[in-house]
Amino acid sequence: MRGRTLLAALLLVTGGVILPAHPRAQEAVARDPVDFSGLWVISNRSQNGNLDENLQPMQPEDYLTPAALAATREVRPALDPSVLCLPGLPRHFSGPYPIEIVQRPGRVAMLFEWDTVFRLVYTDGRDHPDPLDDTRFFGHATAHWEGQTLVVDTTNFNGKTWLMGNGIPISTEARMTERISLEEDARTLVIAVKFEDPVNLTRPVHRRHVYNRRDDWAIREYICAEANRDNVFSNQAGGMGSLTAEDVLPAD
Amino acid sequence: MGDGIFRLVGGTLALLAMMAVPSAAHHSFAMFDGEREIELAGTVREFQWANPHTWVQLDVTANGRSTMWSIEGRSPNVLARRGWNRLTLRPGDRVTLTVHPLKDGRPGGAIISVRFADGRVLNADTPTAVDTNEEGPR
Repeated sequence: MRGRTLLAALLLVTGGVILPAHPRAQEAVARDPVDFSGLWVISNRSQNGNLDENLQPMQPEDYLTPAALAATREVRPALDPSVLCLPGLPRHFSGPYPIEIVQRPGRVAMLFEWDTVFRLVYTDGRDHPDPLDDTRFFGHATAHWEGQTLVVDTTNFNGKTWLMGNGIPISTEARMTERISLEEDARTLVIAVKFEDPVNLTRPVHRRHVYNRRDDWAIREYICAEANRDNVFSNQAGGMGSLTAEDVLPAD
Repeated sequence: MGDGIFRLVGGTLALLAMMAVPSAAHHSFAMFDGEREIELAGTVREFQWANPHTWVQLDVTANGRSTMWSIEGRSPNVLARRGWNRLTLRPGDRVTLTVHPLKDGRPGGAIISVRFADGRVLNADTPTAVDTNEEGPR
């Protein structure tokens, strides 16, 4: 009784929009046309790389701005953010590690085993935050439903990640659109990605990630910084780190 | 080049190498020669079961001289789903590793598989592609 009174008081104070389990939000998830919850493992049916809208490979000159083209030509693989244990999208979609999806009222949570990082895709109608004070390795994601497909809009990238290991930068102006759906068997998840970046790309890059449901797997922990030998310090200590002094000095 | 005597083995495995497509990992495997495979028979000095990648320190004797090789492997999570665990390789174990050698000739490589003294083989490649209709890694 007392709890209910408290809850009612809180709802009054907050206008009923802040508490995550608000009845209106519950109704919202009940209206979600598809539930993607489950553990998903990348399939070899995926079409990765930097592809055109027909999922055909493109030549770098066909989709990179001059600045991005130059960046890939002087790329230093040892400075790959991923080598430095930094996460990023869309690269985290194609790792050899499962992604667990937990669908809740107003949001779809993606739990990435790779780097033990999570991502919340908001389906509660909110806007992206101000990019001046909130940029992210994974960007900020909001979504709406188009039929059986969840359409995700991600912005607020922090400009510190790469599109892939060849050094194409991702700017803070980038925008990623995902169309997430289930195939008919409900055991196959598809995340179709369109990636746009006016600073680095002259036309959108497309990828199609396909995942199989694995009910017999569970997320494990993955803390990349545990024993990373791919850095300059281990290299100096006699390890096999691929970073050298030249990698951490200015290019000129 | 410290791996000169292994070139012969590498040559015979060239066909295998063409079939085996090294899977991309998020950490750079660019320093390894994905086109070549060599076999290293030696004694395990240390097996580091740690992220982001496992490492095997293997003592290999050739021409009466012992060299310690540093062999990089996939992460514990990936290997665990391929049947490995942190005790799969113990100090003193005699094993044969198939690896992609370092391009620069230093005694290092990326592990492809291990063959134990009893002939048993464990793969170490990445299960990036797992279809439900395949048996799949566990």
